[in-house]
Amino acid sequence: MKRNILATAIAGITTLSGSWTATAAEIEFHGDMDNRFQAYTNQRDWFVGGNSGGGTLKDDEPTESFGEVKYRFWAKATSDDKKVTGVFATEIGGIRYGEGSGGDFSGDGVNVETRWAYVDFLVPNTLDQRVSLGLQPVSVNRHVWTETATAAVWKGSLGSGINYQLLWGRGDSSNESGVDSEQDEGWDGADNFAINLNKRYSPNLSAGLFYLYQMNDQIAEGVGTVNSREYELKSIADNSKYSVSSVGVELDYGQETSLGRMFVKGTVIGQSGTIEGVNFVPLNGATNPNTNYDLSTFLGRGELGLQFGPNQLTYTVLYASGDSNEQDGDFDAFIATDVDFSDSMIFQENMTSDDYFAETPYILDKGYFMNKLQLDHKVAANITVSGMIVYNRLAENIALADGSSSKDLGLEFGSKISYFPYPSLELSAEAAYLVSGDAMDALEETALQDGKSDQDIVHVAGRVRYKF
Amino acid sequence: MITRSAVFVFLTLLLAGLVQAVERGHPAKAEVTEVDIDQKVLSLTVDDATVEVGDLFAVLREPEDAGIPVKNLAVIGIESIGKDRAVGKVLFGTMPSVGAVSKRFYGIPAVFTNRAGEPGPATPALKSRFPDLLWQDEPAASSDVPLVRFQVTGRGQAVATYNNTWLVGIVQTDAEERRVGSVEGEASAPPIARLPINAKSLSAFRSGNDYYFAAEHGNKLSFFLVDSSGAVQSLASIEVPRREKVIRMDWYVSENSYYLILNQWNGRRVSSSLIQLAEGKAKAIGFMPLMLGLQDLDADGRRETILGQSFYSEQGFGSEIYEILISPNRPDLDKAVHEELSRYTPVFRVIGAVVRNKPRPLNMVTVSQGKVSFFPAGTEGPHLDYEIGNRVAGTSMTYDVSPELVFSPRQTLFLPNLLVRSGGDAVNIGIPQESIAAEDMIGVYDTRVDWLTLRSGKSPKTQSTSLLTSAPVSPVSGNTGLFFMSPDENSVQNDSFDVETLVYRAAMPAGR
Repeated sequence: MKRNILATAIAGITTLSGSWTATAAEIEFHGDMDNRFQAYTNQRDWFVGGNSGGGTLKDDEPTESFGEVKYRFWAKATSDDKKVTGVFATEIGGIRYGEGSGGDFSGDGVNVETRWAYVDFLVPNTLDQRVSLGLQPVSVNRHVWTETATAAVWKGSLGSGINYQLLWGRGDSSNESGVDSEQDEGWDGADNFAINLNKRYSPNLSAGLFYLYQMNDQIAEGVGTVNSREYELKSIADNSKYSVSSVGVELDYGQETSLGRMFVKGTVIGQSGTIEGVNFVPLNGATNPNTNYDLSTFLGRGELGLQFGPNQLTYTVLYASGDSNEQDGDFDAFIATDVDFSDSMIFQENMTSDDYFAETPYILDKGYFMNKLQLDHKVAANITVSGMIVYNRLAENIALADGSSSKDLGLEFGSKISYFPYPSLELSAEAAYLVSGDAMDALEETALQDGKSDQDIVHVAGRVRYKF
Repeated sequence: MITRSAVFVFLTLLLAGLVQAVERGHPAKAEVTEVDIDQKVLSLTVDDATVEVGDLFAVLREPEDAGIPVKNLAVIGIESIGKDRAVGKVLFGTMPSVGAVSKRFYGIPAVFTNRAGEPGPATPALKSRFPDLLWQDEPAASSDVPLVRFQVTGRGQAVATYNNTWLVGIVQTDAEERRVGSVEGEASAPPIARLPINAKSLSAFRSGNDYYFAAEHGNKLSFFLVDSSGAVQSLASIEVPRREKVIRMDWYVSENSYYLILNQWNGRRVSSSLIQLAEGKAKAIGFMPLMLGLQDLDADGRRETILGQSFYSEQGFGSEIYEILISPNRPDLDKAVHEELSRYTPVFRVIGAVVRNKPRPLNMVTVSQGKVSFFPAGTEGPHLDYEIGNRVAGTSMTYDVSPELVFSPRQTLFLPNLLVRSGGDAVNIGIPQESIAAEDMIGVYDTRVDWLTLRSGKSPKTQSTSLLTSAPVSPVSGNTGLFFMSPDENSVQNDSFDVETLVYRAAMPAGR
């Protein structure tokens, strides 16, 4: 059996010269250059980016149109033997046309941010076990935690065909600004430990299991607050003590039928734990005096679909538990850590991904009960048109100004078209219209609140995106 | 990826190091006294006090009772010097036995050969570039040390190998003298077929003197038969199933039917359809959420086994290999886990090849954009990378690793078009390269095909052919030859409706 030629040769050179010869790396340069355009909305202040619901409906229907640049670039240096990779990524923007630093006359803004910086390497003497260290994209579960964080991740496969991921990530530290805290030492930051197991049992069936344990002890930094609009763990990591466990299972099954290919996907997640050192502030502002809360939540998601010819019909149902009592010592609302969701164009992220109402699979602390029917049609391999109807409800009632309550957020109609004139260039457009339900009254400006919904929402956007 | 300049620097360093070692002293001999097979280190007693760290020794002979052929040379690098002994590491070759006698390098012979491997005088440019080599017009009949060989492969280029096995890359043989060796077919090659559609992708199958083609154009797949006179007969046409992106096609021919294996990508996973061509009609008879490839598992020269492997954007390739069987009496596919090959994942990919010597697999072949790798049977042990040229032709598919991440990494799946042929004790692999403009001819494009010959227990041999065309060509999938295609821009003037597609066939090198 022949040896690895290059490795042998390099070893030979090193031996001969008596000193290390720097090995070369293959540099790849990638980019995601997203030019997006808010063509029109009648409710500018709705899409203002809260974690779990940031916007407010206004009476005067403030319209908005803008163009925006959001570019991401990353360089990937891979060793000659493909066993080590280093990645550094930057982000520019969003820079709106004519606005702020960099977007107005002459440009010249300081806009570059660090997005990723990590090293990934093959575990010695293995073929498929890899370790990644640094600021990197982490994904435990899309409903709980899928974003960038500093972490150490070990991924690999077991002989039984099970793919696994072991993750430790630190989302926040007690040592702020490089200054060590006297009160907080050791494992007192926001630490996250996760294990993911996935197995493809057959071409048609795969299943996964994950367990995420999150702990934090920064209670010495004072009592913080968590409010209904910022209901995510990352919002309180800097000012609380918590111990939260999330466990979930996922299923993906497909089967040929006489009508086409049917598929079923499901996710079930349960959460439990305690959160201390914070006061909860609900939407109405009546601060909950408790500082200790027991967490017990649930999320379920199911997709049932049929692919027939160039069409795909998908029904999606999502239920995230909400909190019905804002003043007790329990958190019953499902809580994510850091995610980006886009089931609904009105309530979640859309093409203008910096301008959205919520990034979470739930609304406020009231959970979410979403039913969505979507039809995708491929006009050609590079052109897809989609239409969808989304019925948005809260899982728990929200109190309205007239003393009544409601779960009805409204019925949303949406459409999208995406066209790839070249494999790396996307031209897309989307439009959505929400016929608001009465629960939207709680999210209207105070002058409009009367127990009934008063404002529907229109969103029209597009983008030109080059990815390489 | 090794660039040509990197190869040159590497060669220079290697040779300079060797020559430096040579110049320091006269021949020295050493006997192996201890070996550690796991660490590949050994101890030597040296009869020469001037041995230094960095010296290289080649094993001259094994002890008479070891039963190891003399030709199993090993190269040992000295890593430390102790009292009355030196500790070395096997850099190349098999671990020698205790009692084996080794000898320090006293010079590095080099030979320059033409494309057929016949020795000849080295070009002045090559000599000036490597002045310390001991250039020979022909290799000595019996040499104690490995040989640096520069074998011409194409225009002004040669493969540099060391002891016939260190495939270290290509070098320019002469900056002025562009034609080193003869390139087969100096004139542009004529197309073997002219298809009346503007094909986006194509798959070819040769049956006797006839060719079957499946062409993707627009949302359609069209099938053609081209006879030996070049006459084109349109056989059938069908909509691209699900209108998903076609990423790879292959012909599968059973005793009484022709099938097209169609691999498609929907942004998240690869799936395949089997399209049967019978009685003038094309019909999709099966669908699988797997990427399918054809293999010659019984080494009879025919790739008649369909293997499948899942590919999802989140997971990459799946860990199990399936064998796909077409039910003769019903339009359906049966699948079963191929347990033997599944053990070889993650090394083995269905888009590569298993190169088999009965009764067990000999090697796995995997391909990335820049290189072809040979893996031993099983998942353990080192592998051999073939890096001649970093422009292996094929198609690529770039995808987000996780579509659900707003900011997700991107990866590329490279889909090569290799021709793997096995038979007897040899396996031939044709590796097409991307077209490049011929430097010395205007309007001519040169598409090189590197051919590797593998024989069990022997070093890989290389040979190259060139296909000269008037336009850049892209590879066509096919298991009965290496085919290329290009749109015929001139046909616009003849036919106002569409551009025709020209199909070429690469010649096999002589002696295959």
